[in-house]
Amino acid sequence: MNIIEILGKIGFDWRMALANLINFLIIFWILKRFAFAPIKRILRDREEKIKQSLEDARKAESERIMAKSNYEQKMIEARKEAENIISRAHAEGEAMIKKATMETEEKVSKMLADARDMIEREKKIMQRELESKTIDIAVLVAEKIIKKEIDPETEKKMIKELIVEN
Amino acid sequence: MFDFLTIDATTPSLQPPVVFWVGEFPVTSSFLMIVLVTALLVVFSVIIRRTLKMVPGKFQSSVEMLYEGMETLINQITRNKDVTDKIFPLIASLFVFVGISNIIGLVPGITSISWDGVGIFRSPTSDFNTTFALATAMVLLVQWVSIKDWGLFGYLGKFVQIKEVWQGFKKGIGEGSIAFINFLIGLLDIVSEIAKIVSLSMRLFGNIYAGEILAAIILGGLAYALPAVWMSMNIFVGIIQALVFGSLVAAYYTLAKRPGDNE
Repeated sequence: MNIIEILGKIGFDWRMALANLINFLIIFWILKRFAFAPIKRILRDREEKIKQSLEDARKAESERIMAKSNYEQKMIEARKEAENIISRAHAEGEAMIKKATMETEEKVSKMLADARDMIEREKKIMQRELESKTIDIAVLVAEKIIKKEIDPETEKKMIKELIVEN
Repeated sequence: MFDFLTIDATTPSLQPPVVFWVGEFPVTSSFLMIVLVTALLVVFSVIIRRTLKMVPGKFQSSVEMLYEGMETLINQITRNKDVTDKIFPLIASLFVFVGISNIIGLVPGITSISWDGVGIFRSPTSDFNTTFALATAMVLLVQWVSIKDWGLFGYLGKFVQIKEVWQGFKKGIGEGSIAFINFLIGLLDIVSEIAKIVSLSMRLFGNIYAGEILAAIILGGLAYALPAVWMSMNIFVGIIQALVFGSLVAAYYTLAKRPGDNE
């Protein structure tokens, strides 16, 4: 009694066994190729995608923080620059005012000097006129007092001497 | 008097009935059932392939949960991600095929479909041919993996440990005796490899076939209510047996590989 006969007693037939095994192999192939592989792929893809998304979110967060600090830095710089500009403008304004004041002062003092000169000159002219008029009057007065005509030339000389003496 | 409470169900024969012959080849009811299972799985695969989306629906979520559950279970046995990836399709196919085969016979009416007086569908795993063929193929695969991993002499050396006996006696009587005992255990391991085929195939076949016989006997005793309890038990047993079969193959595979070999 060989082993095949013994197995035959419990319903074994190698043809059926082989057929059933081949069927199982077909099922194995179908499941592997058309069910397990796609499921595996999609599970891995999803895992990958979730990982990627988390990574992206993390990156975005750090970028946001960096952008914020950048922004704050820029704001600080801008404020500093604005302050600089304002203080420079202040200084420039002051300098301009100073300059303008100085120029004005100069002009005024020049004008004053001119005016003084002019006054001096006028004064001199007037003095001279006053002199001659006074002489004329004096002559006239003297003429009337002494009622005596003298040569006008001598008269003038005398009066001049009188004036100088006085 | 209480005849209406019983149904004379014929207990299934040991050998599956031959429905028809194709030349010399007997087409049995279990073979037809495997074809039916194959067809179902083809439809299932096509649906999965067509409807897989990045954002899963209810159906896809359940399928993915099942997939990840199987992956976790296999990974617990192999404790190695690469090995798991490698054997996952095979072990998961065993889970799916054996599981469906075990419980498809419980679908009401399916075993009652007959042609020419012969039931044309029968649980494939209640046919010894299927379980024996599967178990043999799996154990042979494990041997093949072992030979590939250890080399032919390394593989044979696991069973016939002559070298160790020689080296043991050179060291002394004590170590030699231990090596001799190991030599005998090695010889026993040959038996255990064959026993793997027997235990794998007999366990699955026995559970499912016995379940069917008992279902028929219970129907003969009390045809109402009681069989329902037994049928629901059978669903449970069917799933458990599928898990046991697949897990054991995964365990044999893991044991056959050289330890620490992270291929």
